[in-house]
Amino acid sequence: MSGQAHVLEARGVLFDYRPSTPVLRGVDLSARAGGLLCVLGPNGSGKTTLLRCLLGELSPGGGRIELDGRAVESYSPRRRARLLAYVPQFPAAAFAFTVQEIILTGRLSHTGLLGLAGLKDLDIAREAMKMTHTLEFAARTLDELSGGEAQCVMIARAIAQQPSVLLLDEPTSHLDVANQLLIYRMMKRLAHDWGMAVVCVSHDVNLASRFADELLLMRAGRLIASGAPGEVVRSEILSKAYGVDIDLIAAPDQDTPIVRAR
Amino acid sequence: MRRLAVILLAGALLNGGCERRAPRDDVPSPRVVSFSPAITEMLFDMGLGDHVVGVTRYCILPEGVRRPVVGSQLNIRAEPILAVNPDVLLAQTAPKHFETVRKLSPHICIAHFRIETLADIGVAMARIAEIVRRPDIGRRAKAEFLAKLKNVREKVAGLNRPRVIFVTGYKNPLAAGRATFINELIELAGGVNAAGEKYSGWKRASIESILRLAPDVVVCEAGPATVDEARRYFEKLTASGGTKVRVCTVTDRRWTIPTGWIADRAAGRMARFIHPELRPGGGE
Amino acid sequence: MTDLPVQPPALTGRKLAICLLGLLLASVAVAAACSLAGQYRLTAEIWRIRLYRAAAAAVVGAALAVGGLALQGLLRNPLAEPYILGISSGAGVGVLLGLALATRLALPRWSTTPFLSLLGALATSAVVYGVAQRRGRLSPYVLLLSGVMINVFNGALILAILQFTRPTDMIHFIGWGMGQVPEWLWDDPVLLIVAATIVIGGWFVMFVHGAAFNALGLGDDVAASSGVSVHRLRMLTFVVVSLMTAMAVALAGPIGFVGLIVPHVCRIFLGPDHRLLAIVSGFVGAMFLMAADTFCRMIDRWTDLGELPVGVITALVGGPFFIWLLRRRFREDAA
Repeated sequence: MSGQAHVLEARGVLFDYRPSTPVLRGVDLSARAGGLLCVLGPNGSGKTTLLRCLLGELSPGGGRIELDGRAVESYSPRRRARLLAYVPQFPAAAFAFTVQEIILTGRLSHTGLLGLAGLKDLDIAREAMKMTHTLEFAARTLDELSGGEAQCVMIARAIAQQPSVLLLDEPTSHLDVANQLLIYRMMKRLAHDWGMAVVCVSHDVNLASRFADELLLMRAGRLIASGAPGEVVRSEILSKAYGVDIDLIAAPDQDTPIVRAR
Repeated sequence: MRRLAVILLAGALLNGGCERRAPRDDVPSPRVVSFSPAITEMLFDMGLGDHVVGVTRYCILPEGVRRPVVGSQLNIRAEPILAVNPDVLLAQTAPKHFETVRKLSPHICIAHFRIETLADIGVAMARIAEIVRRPDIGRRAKAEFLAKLKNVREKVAGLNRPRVIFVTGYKNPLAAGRATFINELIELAGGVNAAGEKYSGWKRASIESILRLAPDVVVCEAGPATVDEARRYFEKLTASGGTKVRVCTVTDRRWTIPTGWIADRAAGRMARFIHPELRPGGGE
Repeated sequence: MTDLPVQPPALTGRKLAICLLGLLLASVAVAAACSLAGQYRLTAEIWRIRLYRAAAAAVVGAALAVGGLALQGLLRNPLAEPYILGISSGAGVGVLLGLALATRLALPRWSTTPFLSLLGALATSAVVYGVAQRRGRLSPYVLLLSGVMINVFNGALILAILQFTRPTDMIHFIGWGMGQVPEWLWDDPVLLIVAATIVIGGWFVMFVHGAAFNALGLGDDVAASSGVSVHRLRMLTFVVVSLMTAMAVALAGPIGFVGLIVPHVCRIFLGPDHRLLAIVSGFVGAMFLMAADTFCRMIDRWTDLGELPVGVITALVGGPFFIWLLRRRFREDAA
């Protein structure tokens, strides 16, 4: 889906809402195509702010963010949307749009005037819906769906944009264990089978370490560890990040241990 | 003294009264607050302006004359009224709005007037003069008023009666129907109020209604800035009909306020609008 | 997972074109019916007067309906309507100020009620923008609050100016405030032409951005990441709706309920796709106001009440109908 190995790169990102309280104090991030990268950290570490800077929604006070080799601000919203797609934490629609209509809004950056969907757009939407198991809901509205199903719809919408990079903001924070597993498996497939660079801000260390190819651990606006899960999921690193004592418990069928706060 | 009491009692019965029927006996020259532009006008027209110690914001005073403003019909406060120390308060607003004034100064006579027809104007003049203890002036003013009206009535007696419509404004015209004194004025001046056949009171009339009433004369009251457009508008509007319609315009707001001015100016002019062949009489 | 067809089918250009054509024909039919209603020695002159009046009603109705729809989409709130940006109260301040000053100064010839209303409306728009903007950007929440506050402030201004207004002018102002489709445009159609141009232009702009409004309904962040320039769209909508509503109020005074009810009713029957709604609401608004205005004209014909202001009819019809519609929807949801 893209030529470069590192599709989304951030170097030394600084951001503050007010000069007295810096939120990001120089964060680096490198997302490569075909890999799932999870950003971890305690509340208030700046994970969501980092995501919003990557999206181009916030302008960083310093550092560079590059999408496909060019600064992210240099893209028009339409061109950026063909490279970068976003899945919000809480799916919500102000009006009673059907699932199909919602997913077709993902085609906005590809369609012409009025965003009218052609056959190709319908095909891509159908593929997205099949991938996310939402085809059967095509005629339903968001409020008729469960949390997990709605989140799948938003993911389908995002991948209908045919992006190189997919950004998700804590997509499973409000879902049950089965749906959490479903979403993480989906993200992994999108990365490995579909070749996207998937960046997911996560609140769940266990799930992230189990599925991600790369982890970024933040605390107080700084990166304190990054790399493969095996390198980051260490008791002393996690304890320092979260400020509580962390135990690691070996799990029989996976490489990374299970993390538990004492 | 007894005649005064009878007249005032009659006036009170007809027009609603007050607790105190007349100013106190020991006040030869009552201080008057007028809460109605029409009443203020009548007072000054009759030469009783010296008695006036307070007026409303919208009262029109003669050139060069100043009087303290003590409120308005929608803003009745006891303090400014009492500050000018009146003996009499004349108003068209219902007496209940002056409760506070009455309670604070029970010696003040509060007289309520209803001035809606031409006859009311004459009666009001007489009663106002009675209250300020100059009944002869009131009687004379009323007589002159009635005489002028009679003069106009006589001039048009026996002439044919064209259909007349009186409107204010031209973009959203309000037509004078029955039960307005304009209706009386038109009848007096030798016409027939066409709008009175359909409407009662002042009503917003659509163009089609105006045309359907088939007036021979349209009298339009408009502001000085728009009066020429108003005339042109009605002329164009009525041009398509078979008969020629005469369009007259007036700019003075006093056409819609019943005072003695109606007899002085309006009646004669209305008669000439309706019957242009009449010669102007004295005082017009 | 069986390969089910994607259903219902998506909105296509052909469907929109058919819809547009159908509504255009329907509007012309309604306009014709309205202008022929209650004929009595219908001369060419009378018919011409009625057509201008129907045209004015159509322009005002379309402006209010499309403005209401655009604001509902922009603010993600189905209860938004064009006057929340302070347009009608600003127009009222302009008109009342003119009435109050006319007794003291000789105002220039061009300061007619429509012009003063336009001036007041646009000035208020600018103030609302100035209050609500932050670094040139508008947030929906702040915009809504600013509009509400400026409305309240204008209301207070109006009360203050009323103290200096003659009672007769006050009555005139109250009449204006109820809204009335103008009847004099056959004589001087300049205002109608200007208004129609602005309204049709603004309508087209809102239609063209229909897909962007759809995306906006999913949240600013989702819309932005789909390719919508959210801030630019917000600014554009604010300017367009302000202009359209200001023209509607300049023509006919503040007619209520059309901007709230028409888009909402259309949405209940047709779904929330803004591309479709932009077309439909405009026409439905035009037809609704034409019919209501004709009804007012007939009331003057049948009764001796004179012409009722059309704002009274839209309120009396719109209010209860809206309540009935909402209750029907509650019952459907509960079932």
